Amino acid sequence: MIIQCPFCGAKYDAPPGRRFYVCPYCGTVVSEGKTYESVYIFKPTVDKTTAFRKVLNLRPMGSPDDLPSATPAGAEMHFLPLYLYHITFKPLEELETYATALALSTPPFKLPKSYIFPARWRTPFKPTLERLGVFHSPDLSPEDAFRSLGDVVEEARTYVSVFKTAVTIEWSFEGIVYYPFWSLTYTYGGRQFRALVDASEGSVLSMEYPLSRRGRAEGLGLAAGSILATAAVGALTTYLLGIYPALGALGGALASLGAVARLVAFSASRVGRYEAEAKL
Amino acid sequence: MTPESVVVVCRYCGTPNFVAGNPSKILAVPTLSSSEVLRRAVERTKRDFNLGRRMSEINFASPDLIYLPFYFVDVRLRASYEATVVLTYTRTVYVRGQATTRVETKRVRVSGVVTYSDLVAVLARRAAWGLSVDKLTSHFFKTAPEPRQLAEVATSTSVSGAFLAAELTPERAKAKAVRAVVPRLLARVDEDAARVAREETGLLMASATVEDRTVDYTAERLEVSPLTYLPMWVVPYLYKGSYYNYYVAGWDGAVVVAEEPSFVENKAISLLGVAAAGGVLGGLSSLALLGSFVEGAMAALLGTVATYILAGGLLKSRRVET
Repeated sequence: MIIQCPFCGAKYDAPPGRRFYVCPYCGTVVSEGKTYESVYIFKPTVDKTTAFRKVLNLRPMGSPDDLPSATPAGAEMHFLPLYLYHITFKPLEELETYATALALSTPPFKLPKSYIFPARWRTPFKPTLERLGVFHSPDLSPEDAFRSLGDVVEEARTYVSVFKTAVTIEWSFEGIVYYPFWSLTYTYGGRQFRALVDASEGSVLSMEYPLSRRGRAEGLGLAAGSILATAAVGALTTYLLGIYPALGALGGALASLGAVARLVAFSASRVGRYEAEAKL
Repeated sequence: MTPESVVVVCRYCGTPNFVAGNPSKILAVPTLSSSEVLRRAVERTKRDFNLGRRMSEINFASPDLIYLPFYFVDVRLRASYEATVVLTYTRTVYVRGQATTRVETKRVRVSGVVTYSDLVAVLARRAAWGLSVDKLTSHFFKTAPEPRQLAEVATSTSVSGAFLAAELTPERAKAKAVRAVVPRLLARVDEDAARVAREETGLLMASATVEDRTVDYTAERLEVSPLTYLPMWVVPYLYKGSYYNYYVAGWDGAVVVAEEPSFVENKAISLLGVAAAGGVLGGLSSLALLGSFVEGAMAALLGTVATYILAGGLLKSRRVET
């Protein structure tokens, strides 16, 4: 079935019977005779140089001191499309929320789990933005993308069990959000590493980095310190309980194996990995 | 003009033009100047135990202002409930003169009514939040600065460009507020059901688990404030060339969230945490060798898991202080 976009005039092929059709050229959505032109673009405020500076100066645990002198090898800005939904839980009229879902089946990079998009400035679409970065066209329908919102379904299940009423999730399509990310590559010691930066507010979301000898030694030193410190506290605990301290030291050393496994795995890994935790 | 334009100050005559809504119905909290915010951020850094001692290695960059739109919704929910509560308690029985402790459970069917009221801050943006926004609203409730009309606040180009447009209607803000409060109402229901069950049975020290609750709630009060803008400054600073941010409440310069490097002393505290959790649980695991095999094995397993989790703190290069 051939559809002509009412906004940009482009024609595209689409399977019949769908509730929504998304123009692969401009992102305009057509549904049941209605056109949804709400395309929100978040403004990129961080340039390539700043993005690299933030990554190379991040100094994650175990990175070499001279990492800022690494060579930038590539930078691509990607505008990822997200569908924006307004959700209600019928018949609980008082409850509603918004949610976003990635509109791509295979994104060009992995986003941190449950990524919260920060409150930052939007910008109108301008052709110059297309020169700045790659606009990814949605390849999932809004229905398919909505299925990834497991927490909404879980929330509805909670309401069903608590309010003892059949709850139906109803959603309306509010528009498409394009959010900018810098996908960066840099080389250090002849090896290539990747990083991801939120181009709207500048935080480093994830990065790979080389582990220095000092960093590996630090990891092993902390592992040894963990064994000794837990063994000492274990001995003290059993001494206070009136049991042989040697047994407590042994128990403490055994319990420290969790920490040791984590620290040794860090020291032995080929590449260090940083992932932002809290979204500020 | 952008999709965010709320107020645009004419660069020629300085007259503010209000683009979004009736300015007399929109409020904004006035902000300190950029230099004053920076001065207070520096003062805070000097007072900080970790950063203060490294002041000479810290450089501040120019701060960015963001005016975030909020609705404040006064919510009062009333819930009537029925629930089954499982009480678990220990009882000492004497068999042939020997005292034995038994763990027993009792199921109690209870019902009651609870109310929950709260003032909820709803960011008038779709699907966007963050720790700094959360802390900013908590600080707003604590300090209660006086908002003014938008026209009195958005008087310069630098301030007018900092406003983020509101995307929600007050009705939708009310619904978001109710949704935010429902989990807290349900927690209150659980607390009340446990209390009632303990009182009815006289088992005041029993631990209670609520099972199979049925709740019906009504919104007794749902009032929404005018759209209110709160100023938040993002103050970046560099420590040994690496960027960190302070998130600062614009009305009093208080740092609501501080991103800081993880120093040696922070790692030492993490190591102490690993040693304390692992040592105590590991020490208790030695009971396994003295007969209590299951308890000892459980303690050893818990200790290993605890030290694995706590060791994450040793690998962090930055931390967040609130």
